[in-house]
Amino acid sequence: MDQKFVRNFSIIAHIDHGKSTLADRLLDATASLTERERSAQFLDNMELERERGITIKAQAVRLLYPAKDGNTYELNLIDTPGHVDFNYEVSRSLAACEGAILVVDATQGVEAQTLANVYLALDNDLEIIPAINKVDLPSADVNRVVEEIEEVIGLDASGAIPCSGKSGIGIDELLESIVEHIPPPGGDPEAPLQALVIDSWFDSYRGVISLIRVVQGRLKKGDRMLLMATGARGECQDVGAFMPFAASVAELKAGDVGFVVTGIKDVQLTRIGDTLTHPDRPASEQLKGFQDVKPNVFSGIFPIDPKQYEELRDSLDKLSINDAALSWEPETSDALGFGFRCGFLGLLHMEIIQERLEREYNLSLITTAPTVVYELTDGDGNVTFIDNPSRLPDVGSIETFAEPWILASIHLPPEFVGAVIALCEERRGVQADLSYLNANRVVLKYELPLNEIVFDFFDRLKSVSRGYASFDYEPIGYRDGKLVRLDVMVNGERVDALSVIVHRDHAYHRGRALVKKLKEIIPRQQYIVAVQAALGNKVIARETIKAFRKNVTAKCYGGDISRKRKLLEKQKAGKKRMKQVGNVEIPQEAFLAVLKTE
Amino acid sequence: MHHQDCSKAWSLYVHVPFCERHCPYCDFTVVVTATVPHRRFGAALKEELEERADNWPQHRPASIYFGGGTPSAWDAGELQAFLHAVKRRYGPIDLCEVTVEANPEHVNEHLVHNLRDAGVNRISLGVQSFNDRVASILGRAHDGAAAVRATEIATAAFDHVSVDLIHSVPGQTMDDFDRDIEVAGALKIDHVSAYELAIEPKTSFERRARAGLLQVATESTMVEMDRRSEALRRYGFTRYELSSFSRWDGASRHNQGYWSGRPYLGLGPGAHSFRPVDGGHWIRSWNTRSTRRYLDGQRRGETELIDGPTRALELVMAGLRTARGVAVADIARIDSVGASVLREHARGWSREGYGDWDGTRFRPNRVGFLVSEGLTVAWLQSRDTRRQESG
Repeated sequence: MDQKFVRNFSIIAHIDHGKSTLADRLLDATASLTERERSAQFLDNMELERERGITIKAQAVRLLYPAKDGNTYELNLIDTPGHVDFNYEVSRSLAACEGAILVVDATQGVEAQTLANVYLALDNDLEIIPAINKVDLPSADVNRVVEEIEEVIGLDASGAIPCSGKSGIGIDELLESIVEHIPPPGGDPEAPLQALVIDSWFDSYRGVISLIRVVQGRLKKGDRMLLMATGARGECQDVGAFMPFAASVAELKAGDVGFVVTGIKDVQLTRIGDTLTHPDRPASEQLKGFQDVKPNVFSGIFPIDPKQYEELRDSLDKLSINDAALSWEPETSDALGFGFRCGFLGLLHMEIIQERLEREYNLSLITTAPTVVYELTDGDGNVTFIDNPSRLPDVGSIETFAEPWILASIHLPPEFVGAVIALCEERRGVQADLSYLNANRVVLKYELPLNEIVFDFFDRLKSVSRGYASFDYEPIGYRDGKLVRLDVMVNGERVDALSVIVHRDHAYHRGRALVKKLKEIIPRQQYIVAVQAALGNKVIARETIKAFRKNVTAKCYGGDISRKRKLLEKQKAGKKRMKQVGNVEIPQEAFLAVLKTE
Repeated sequence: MHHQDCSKAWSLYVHVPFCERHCPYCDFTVVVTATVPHRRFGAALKEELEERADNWPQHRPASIYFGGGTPSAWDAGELQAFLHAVKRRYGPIDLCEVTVEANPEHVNEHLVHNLRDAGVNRISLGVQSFNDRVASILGRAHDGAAAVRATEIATAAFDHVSVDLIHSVPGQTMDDFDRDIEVAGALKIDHVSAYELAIEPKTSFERRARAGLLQVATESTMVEMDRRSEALRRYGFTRYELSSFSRWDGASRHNQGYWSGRPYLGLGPGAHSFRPVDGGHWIRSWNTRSTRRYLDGQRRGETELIDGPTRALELVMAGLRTARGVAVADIARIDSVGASVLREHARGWSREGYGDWDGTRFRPNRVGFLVSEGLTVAWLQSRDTRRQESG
């Protein structure tokens, strides 16, 4: 199809604002899905995604739309993940588009989390079409939302399209607006091939399949291919598009979005953001913006049943086939036995991996608190990186103990500035900037140790700003810190998996809070249990957990025995998710409690 | 009371579901009715006995127990006729412990003589409290004086009389309960069941508690009340089970049968039965809870197969509620892993003050009774982990 009839666009929306439903209506209005196909929201294809209401992996679907001007247009809808962990993936998806639909819920208005993606879209010079969704609800207030878009984001929203994914209102207008306002892609089809990798996944029959946007040149079946950043080579076994199901096409040319079957077996070699070209007639340069995404949050994953170790290894292996950002290596803990140290993009990524391991691979796991990577320098200037507090060498040998810092950008309404500043200060933050975008919008920049945000910072930020603060961050390197390792001892024995690295000034407070929390979490055992927090050999806090809870004193007839037995069996089953450490059972929550501050 | 060969002992239970009113704390299988179908019920019980008894031992049961509901609301003549059918089948029952539960307001000279003539030799009285106010909170029809009078009538006719006492009742003071203990100790009874009020699901008390209309006792109140129940020792009672006290050789043979895992045949609506089958397995079955269906001859409810490890769990669970405790050898016969885990745990339990361990048997003390479920779950968890590890 002629480039001038192609439109590449994304939908930007806050969770729950109806992106998936709207996408389905666009599909309905163009391609035809059967009822059964429609029953699943088409773009979210993993069970987990649907439950969480988020989209993890990007996908693209090609719609053929006969417009009012008499021409048929090819609309490529590129879906984007919606969380700060996947910021980079979002930026690459948006880089493949010329426009975006900004969906805002007519009953809720602009939500903080939408902002980061809108700014990413503006950074990529995308044409933005505001759409006010759910206008058929009684509490819809279109005018207020239009005003908010103009004031908060600074977009002209006079042409915003009122619509409803549920009832189909405004869908035709939206399609017309896409054709009219989003510019067609440019790029010379005859120039050397330059294609952006938007996403890659592993198919057990066909190997790695990549979703690409051809920026210039053309790609067809049989072409030899080169990935410019990783240097990987492959042969194009097929090209196609999702219409909405995968279908082969003759070629993908400048401006097109589609998939390529790469002939490559390892998803690590087809990184998101890489540039695909022909080795015999390569592009003169890579596309801008490629980053080698490295995990920056680590945690230990251990099977509750040691016999599941091999199974866990196989499952991680399978997951990493499809997830280049997941890293893992064997780890041994005194308390938890054999497991794996895993690296993640962020906390959501970590949670998703853990859930998939448990749900799809049926494993029972204990996960230790997430930690960042520390940089240690000894007296001889040797540098080592530590991603596991229990592996910290003797303090005496450490010359400097540095931790990664980030620059956080927080967008928020002025009334929450005080609370958010207090939160950042409490987390050892250093204010870098505070400026007003307009009367209703403040941009607060804080330098913060990554260590301080890996656990509940995001939750706390949401709660102190009632959900109105948006948060984004970039790494700004390592800084020396007054860091110490806080250990937890249960009945006098150090539980290595509960150790955590904290700032010295916070150690006493954290130690006291931690043992208190553990007292609540660790269930009563057969014996009295002492829980202590220690810095080196010095105990700084202690709590005791009393033994068994009293049971009910009631008669026990023949008719009660079965019922009573089943109750006890149930109590026992309820304790499944616990790890025996010495003679104390420690539940999963305890290993995550160490970084909770409230 | 006489003893027969305990290894073959079994018991017979008869559930009489009829009540004149529904007590607000009770979750048993009951039917509240003013018109008890005396004859039909007796006929149905006899029919069930004839149909099912072939699968149970053919010798005389060690104990027979009429529980409820309110057995004393059932015609004593019908009860006598049923026991007659039992005698026809098993011979004389003079050597059996034959208990009937009775409400104090039903007890009079006439009733006790009828029951005695029928072969009953033990009465269990649903007193709950000798305090007028507490008895009324519990929805009982009698007051304190009537309960004392009923007990005296019963003790005049029977050597073996038991009284139920409930503590930790909303509105009951420590003194109220102390007084109940004193009254019970002074009566010529040989058995007391003393236990706390449990708020059971789907009872009137539970609904009231959920609505905030009932001041449920705290755990510390319950523990203190339990401690005070041990004042019965001053009157010569010993606590032979978590909620059971006896003196003068008055321990209930029937309940001990349940706790030591012996077979029982339960007749009547909702009654449970338990018997061995081949291969070391046992079967527990229970009748429909519906009296209407029961009377229509549709008696069967559900059945579960009890394998060795499950039976071991039941023995540990029940054993840890009794002063006799649980013997490693009894567990070893059916569950060798469970037995060695028990040996390890028992040593620790005695160290922690939950009871005595002599190397063969663990005997819980009062503290052990109060946490016996926790001990059982701890044992169960270690055992099942051990079983998993050994494949």
